[in-house]
Amino acid sequence: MKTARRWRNASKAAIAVSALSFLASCAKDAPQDTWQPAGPNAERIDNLQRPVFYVAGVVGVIVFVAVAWVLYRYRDRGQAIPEQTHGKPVVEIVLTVIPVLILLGVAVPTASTIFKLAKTSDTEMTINVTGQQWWWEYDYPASGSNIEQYGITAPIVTSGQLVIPENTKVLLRVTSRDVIHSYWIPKLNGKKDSVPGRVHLLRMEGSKPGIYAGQCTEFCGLSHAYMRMEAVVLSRADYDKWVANQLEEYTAPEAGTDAAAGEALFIQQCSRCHQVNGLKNSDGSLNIAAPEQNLVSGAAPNLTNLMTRNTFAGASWDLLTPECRDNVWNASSADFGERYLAGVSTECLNQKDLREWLRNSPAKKPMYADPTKLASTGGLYRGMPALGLTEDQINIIIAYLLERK
Amino acid sequence: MITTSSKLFYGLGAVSIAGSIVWMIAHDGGALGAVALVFIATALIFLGAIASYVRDGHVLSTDTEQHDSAPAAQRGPGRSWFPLGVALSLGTLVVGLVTSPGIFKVGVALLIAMLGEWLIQNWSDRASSDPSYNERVRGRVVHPLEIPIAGALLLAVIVLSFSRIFLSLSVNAGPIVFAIVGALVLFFGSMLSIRPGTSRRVVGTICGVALVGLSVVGVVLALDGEREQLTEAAEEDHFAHRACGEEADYSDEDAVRAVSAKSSVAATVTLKNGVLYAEMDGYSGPLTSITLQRSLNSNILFQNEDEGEHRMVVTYGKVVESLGGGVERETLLQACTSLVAKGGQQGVVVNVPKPSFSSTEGFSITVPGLEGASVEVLVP
Amino acid sequence: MTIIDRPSTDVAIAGGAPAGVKPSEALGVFKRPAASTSWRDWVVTVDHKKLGIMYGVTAFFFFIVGGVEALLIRLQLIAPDGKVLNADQYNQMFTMHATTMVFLFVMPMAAAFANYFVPLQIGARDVAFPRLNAFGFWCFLFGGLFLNSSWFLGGGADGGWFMYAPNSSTLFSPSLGIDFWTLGLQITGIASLTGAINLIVTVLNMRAPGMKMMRMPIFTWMVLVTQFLLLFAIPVITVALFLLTFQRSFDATFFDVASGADPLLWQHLFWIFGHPEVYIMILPSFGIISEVLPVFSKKPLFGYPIVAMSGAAIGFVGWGVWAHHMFASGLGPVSVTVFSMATMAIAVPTGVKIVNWVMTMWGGKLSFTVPMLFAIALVVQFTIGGLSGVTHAVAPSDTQQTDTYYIVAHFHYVLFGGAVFGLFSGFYYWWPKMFRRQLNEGLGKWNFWLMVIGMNLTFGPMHILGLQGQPRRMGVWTEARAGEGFFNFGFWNQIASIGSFILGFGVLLFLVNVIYTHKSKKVAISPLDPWDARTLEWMTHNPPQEHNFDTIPTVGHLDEFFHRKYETDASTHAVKQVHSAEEVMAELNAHPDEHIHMPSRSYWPILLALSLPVIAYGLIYNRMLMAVGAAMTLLTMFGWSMEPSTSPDDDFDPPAPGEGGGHTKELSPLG
Repeated sequence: MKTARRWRNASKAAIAVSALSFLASCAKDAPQDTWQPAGPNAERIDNLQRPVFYVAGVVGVIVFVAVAWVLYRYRDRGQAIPEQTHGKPVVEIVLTVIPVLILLGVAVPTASTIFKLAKTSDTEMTINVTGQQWWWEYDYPASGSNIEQYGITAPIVTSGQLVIPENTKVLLRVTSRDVIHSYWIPKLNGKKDSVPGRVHLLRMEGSKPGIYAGQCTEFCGLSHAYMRMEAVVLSRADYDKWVANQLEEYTAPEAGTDAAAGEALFIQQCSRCHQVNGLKNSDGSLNIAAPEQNLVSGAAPNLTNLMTRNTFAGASWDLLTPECRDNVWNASSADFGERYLAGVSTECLNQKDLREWLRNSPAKKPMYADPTKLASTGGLYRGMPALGLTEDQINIIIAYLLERK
Repeated sequence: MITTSSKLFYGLGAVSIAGSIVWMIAHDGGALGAVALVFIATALIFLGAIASYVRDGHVLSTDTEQHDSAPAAQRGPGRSWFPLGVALSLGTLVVGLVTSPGIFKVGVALLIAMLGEWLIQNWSDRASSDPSYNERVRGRVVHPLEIPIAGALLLAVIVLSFSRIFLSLSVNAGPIVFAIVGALVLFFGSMLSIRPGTSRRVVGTICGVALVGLSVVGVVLALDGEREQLTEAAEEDHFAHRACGEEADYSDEDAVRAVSAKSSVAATVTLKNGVLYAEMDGYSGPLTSITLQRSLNSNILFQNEDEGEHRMVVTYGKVVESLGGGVERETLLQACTSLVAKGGQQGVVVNVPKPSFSSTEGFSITVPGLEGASVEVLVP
Repeated sequence: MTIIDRPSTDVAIAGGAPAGVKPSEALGVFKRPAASTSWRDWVVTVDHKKLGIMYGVTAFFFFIVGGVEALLIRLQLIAPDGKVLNADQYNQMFTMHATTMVFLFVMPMAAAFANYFVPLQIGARDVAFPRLNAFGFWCFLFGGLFLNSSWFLGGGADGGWFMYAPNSSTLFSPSLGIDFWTLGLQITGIASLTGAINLIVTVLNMRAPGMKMMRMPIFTWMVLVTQFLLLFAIPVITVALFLLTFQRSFDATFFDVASGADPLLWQHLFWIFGHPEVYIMILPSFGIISEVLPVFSKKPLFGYPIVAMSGAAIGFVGWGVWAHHMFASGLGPVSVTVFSMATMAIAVPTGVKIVNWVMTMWGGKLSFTVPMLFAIALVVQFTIGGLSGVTHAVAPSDTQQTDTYYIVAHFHYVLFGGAVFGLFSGFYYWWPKMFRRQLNEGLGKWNFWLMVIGMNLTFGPMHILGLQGQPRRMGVWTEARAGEGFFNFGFWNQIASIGSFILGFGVLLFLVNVIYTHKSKKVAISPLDPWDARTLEWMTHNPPQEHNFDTIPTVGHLDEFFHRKYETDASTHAVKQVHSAEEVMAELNAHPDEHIHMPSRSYWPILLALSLPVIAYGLIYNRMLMAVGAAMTLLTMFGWSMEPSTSPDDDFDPPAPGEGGGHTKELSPLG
């Protein structure tokens, strides 16, 4: 019977919606889940969105039930042509006023949350976040409260994993070097676009140590899908250790080792774009990388302390083997800091992905680093090109990089 | 059977065949050109045959009765200046080939216009045997093109002549001449409005004289060249780059004094009481040092709250070129705003390629002419 | 065939128009084409019905193109690290899918219905500017073909349908695809704008006697509001596209940050267009189901004035909400709050419509034909989409949801479940009027159910994917971000991809239905009024004759046709049929109008439209070609204005009672 089918359709829709919302909570540990806040900013959003979703769900169910009932009750059973009513103003008004009241109820907390999330006067630490195709750079400026309270006496430049102390009101100054990107760590806060020529502010605060995944969420070209990042929250003590490590002076590798040969090769090949702070050329002068001469966006990740973070290439691949990764990522809050600070050891290094990357990066991550397409950028690369390194060269580079801790 | 136009085609066809033979001989049997010429010959002979068959389209040429009454026979075209016009355009074109591309293009345009007009005129002459009707139909077809083009040309002549005159006159003479010419226009306009009955001839003569005078003077002065200042400015690129010193220079004249409020800038730098301080979103209070990322287009807004005109200069390193023989030239890398009066704002986009630790002096924001007003710029 | 028709040679020598020259020949220089029954008639037609059909066929073709692009996207995303499309192809695919669906399917399909039925619904014989109408269609066709020719000429546009700057500049998108995109949309924009002007003038000026604005069918109301939206929105996107064209082709610096520009300029311009655009897409479908629901409930539309006014309200308030697409773009908290409130406000008139539709069915006599099924499905699906929209009117919540699959789910529910279902309802409802046969109900029900199930399976899981954190516009998703547990990214992506194929199959069934209906010998010719409808377009033949009505009806009520068939007893409110549809028609046509003047065919609309892609190709490849195209434009405009205002062959003399009649001249081959 058609009517039974119609009734079934409407009720199916109702069931579908409620089932969907129920099942949504069944997905365990989606790293970017937006309903599992791990910081006060995300909590504020969650506290606002949950009631709104529930109210919307209730309204939806009411509408579906009404539709289903009407379809069942007033189906053509051979009755006479009905009375040609043109409207009942009372019904109209009541059913308009009710949504208005509901929306007013939603509007007030919305406005208040918007302003709370835009507040910057209570900032305790400021970090610059810069997006470019297709990775994120973080610099921790040596100014103001960063120096006084967190011991950042010289600027720290890293990429991929944003490291912040727990329960600290961090303010990110988000911008871009080329096109529009968007910075989003769902468990800690909503997203904010990084627009070239502008600086946008985003609050970031984590309530417990851990590693929180995020992704660039504004279409930015070929490798938009490979532009990821994480936020790492450390306890205050662990954070101080991290800062101290980042500020340590550069130690050159022991002469005669693979790492020393790797250093020489690094200066020759890699330092055209990548900066390692404190690295000295053979003539003793400081090695200053020249990415502005080689790259469209004018910057490449700073590799001074590469092995203190555990993802690379725009956080698209792990530096850790799967077991070591599990060990760090799924650690409890108590153990997390220690395991994270251990960095990447030789045994835990994910040789496969790193080697593929060094062998031929454009084959791994689409970047237009292809020389045949350089005409439109005046010879500048858009990402890391294939350097044509031999396996031996890759070995010594990896040996050198492993010491960047 | 061999009609007039078919003669032309057959002749050209014969010439093509001859040409193809000559080509074959000259090019050692190189066939391509010869093939082309033979094809052309074939096409021409084919056209000639058609012309013969339709007797040049003179359907009525066999109908001798119509010879007197047919419209084409009614009225001879009379004197026409089109041949002269076409010849002159061709001449201009050839002259332009030899001298300058500009004249050549003018010649091409004139030629197209002349030929087009001639074509339309011929068509309208044969449209019917009533000349006034022909005129009206011609007008209806062609006026929507002619009149706007003529109007545009007229405006172009007036505007160009006007501009050449004022580019040549000195800065002082210009306003005087402008006032005089304006007064003359006003005078003649008032005369005409007081006496609306003035004949068309008189008005036409006045306008014609004015136009001719304007154009002649314009051409003469255009050939003479612009006044010196302007030539000098163009050659030395005065307005293209900005000098970052204390004094005003060309690029500061008429520079935009107030910039539309740019939102979300990297830093706002304010000059107050001889002191320079910066403010950045996300930091509280005035700052004496700002951090900018490397290779990032950063917008810095300058606000002047002191008396006098000042500019803000961002110095971010220097470039050392060796000019040979042990001589080196040091140029500072600088970006600066134009001079800003009190209460004004100006922005500048800065892109610093190197980190500040690469330079011994470091990077800074200063106001030329004010010692001690400085904000440090750190680039990690 | 002479194009230049010269007057005859027997003339008077004295001045004045020569004797023997008829006025239309004397004034016109280029002759109008003669009528014919072959394909040529479709090329030179200015008849709103033929143009409506052409709009519909072309739009459906692009629907299939866009659908294939979507299926490729879903194939790529069915598993992590998909290999079906590489990154570049994926970017082109989602850009072109969205562009095709929005600009080349939904908008023109609504235009198809508007073109065909608005003149019929208001009792007019054609639109106000018939040649302009034809020009609009050809612009749409050539613009769409131009845009899609990019696939064969180096790749489609790859910057997203929203084409944010600075990614759209030549530095970051060097391929020509974006140039094809901007110029193609400029050309189709001309079609939308001229169509808007045309329909506004038609509705305001050419209604039948007695048809006050508040007696117009509700579909016409919604179309009118849509045309006003187009009138103001298309110029905005035109400006934005010009700025982008100049930036890409002539090194302008509108969006160049190093020269001081702010990339947010593009976003504002685009969304000031983009938000009214979504109302442009949905309002005609709202209009269609507002016609369908009353017919199959045997009750008038509940609260007709409110539905009409809320449509106008949506059109009005819709201009004040654009920045809800920019909540994460760095506007300050004040702007964000204002736009958040405005977006919540606009939910109210939309909700009012849902109430009115449900109340229309309440107390009615519901027959569940296929058009009715689609209409009911729109109500249900749009409610879901609208509620998810309310959840992102809440700006902080939107900063979590924007640019994720939650948004994709929202707009596909309102666009597919809303706009497209409305269009399908229109297909099934008006098919017998346009093509003399009813589409098969059985196949139609299969079509419907497969589309509903497919749609919900495809877009339902996307809500969850978005809330679980899968961003949009990403060529691959990865296990590392997919979550553990059974119901993770992998599970829902698979369901969505399977659902998309079910949906595709459902759409295919529609085509099968069309072919079956017209090829099969068993399908009967439809009666004049198969659905017992209520509005004027049903008071015509199947299909309507070229001049629509033999006599323009005088309108005394809303739902005039219904009132001619049925009478309501004043005291008991019982409704009784007093005339059949055929009787009403016979009475209407008893005294046909004499010498009905109809607009004449013309070559120039298609020729003028043809010159535009020439200019566009010239801008991309060879500037001389631009000059040629510009000359073509100028000369074709010239021809358009020079042709006779009418050809005497196109008037219609209806038969005197008892006699046959016809056009004043027989159809002859072109010549």
